[in-house]
Amino acid sequence: MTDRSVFEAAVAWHVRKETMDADDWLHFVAWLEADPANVAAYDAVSLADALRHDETPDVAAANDNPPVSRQRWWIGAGVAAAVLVAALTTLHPPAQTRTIVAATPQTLRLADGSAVDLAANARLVIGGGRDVRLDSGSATFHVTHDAAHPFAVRAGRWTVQDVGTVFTVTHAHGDIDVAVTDGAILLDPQGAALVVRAGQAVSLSAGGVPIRSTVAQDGSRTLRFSGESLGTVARTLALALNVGITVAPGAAQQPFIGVIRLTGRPAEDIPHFAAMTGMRSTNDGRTWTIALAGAAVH
Amino acid sequence: MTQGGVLAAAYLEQRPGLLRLLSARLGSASEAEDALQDLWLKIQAGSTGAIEHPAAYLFRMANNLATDRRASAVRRGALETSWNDVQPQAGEFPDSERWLLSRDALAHAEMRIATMPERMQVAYRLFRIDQLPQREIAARLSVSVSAVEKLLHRAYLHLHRHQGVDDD
Repeated sequence: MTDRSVFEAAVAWHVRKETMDADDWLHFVAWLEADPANVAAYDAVSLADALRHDETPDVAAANDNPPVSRQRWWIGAGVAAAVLVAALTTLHPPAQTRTIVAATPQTLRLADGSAVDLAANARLVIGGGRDVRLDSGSATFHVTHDAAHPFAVRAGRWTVQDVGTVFTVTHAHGDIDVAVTDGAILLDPQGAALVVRAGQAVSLSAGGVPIRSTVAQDGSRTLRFSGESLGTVARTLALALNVGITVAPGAAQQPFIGVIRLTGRPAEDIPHFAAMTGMRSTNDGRTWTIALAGAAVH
Repeated sequence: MTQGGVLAAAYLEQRPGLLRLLSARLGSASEAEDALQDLWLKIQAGSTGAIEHPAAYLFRMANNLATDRRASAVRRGALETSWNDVQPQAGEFPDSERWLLSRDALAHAEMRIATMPERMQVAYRLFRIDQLPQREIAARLSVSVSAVEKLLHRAYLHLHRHQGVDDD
């Protein structure tokens, strides 16, 4: 049982953290270091607070003086990214941009020496600089690092900025998925600034929380869900596998908690996922459909 | 100096303190170093807007990163625990887990918030949901900042009551 005075002290530190100065922070550190019970009490208070309002994992303080409420933080970040894209578009008029639509997988060499492997059906817009736009589909970037001129991939409202790297971006209808093979990237650098390192991946949709997963050397993915709707889970799997997945309306709202291992082969992974949730899957050649077992599949 | 330069300079100056904070919160030197690296990358990415007190800002960021990491660990732990609890006969889906519903905790918190006295509840929601600065909450409620702090303090104690941490 946590001692009452220790617990009250932890609450006091927690409530004060937004207004503490550097000296206060050092006092706080000394208080933590003084007794493991203090660490445990503060941990309990701050974690309960984070998990109670679980809308913003992985987001650090973005701005010292937020001009507006950060209640809708993710939407705010998206708007900020959109504003940034607009600003950059103004600064760099779209001179000699080129749109590539890959009919089959192909590799492009960019002017700066970076290479891009496009999956079939990927649509990429390139200009002269280190700033490309993935309109839809999936592409793997082998980026030559230049700290002064970061390489950026824009996908819908999101921006992915490399920190010296090999990474894959998949974009479908405004949702993106980024898997990092080597190095590290920053996702949404002006907003959430999520760090994604080698062996990690993140899926993002507007208004949603980021879904992190791990990527093994063989390309297999491990995704963890903690109560997201089946519709969200299916969207995430669709991005990770670069296929279309529809969930029957009756099932899309059901929450899902669990760990899913993807081999990267849709024909194995989607029936496996359907089976583990007590559903069944069908494939019409373009899109997968997941429905309750026994329900009619369209 | 640019805003990013100011932060980078503050980072270099405060690095020992930041590392102590992260080590104390995370209980592991290697995880603390890892979190510090995340912090550095975020600084490098450059945030916009004027930062009045860069050192305090960095400590707050580091503390938030520590809480995020602890929360992720707890979520993972919960998943793995529940998997062990419900693991079916080994075989059919070795890498997967049956689904469980767990919105009870959230519903419980909502109830605790709803039973707060009105001003406490308003202060808590403005602080935690709307994430307004305390001085703005004070202005809205026409009270002093320290009164807001007291309201919030009591709000958190209220939230934790009956969870085994309050002996009353």
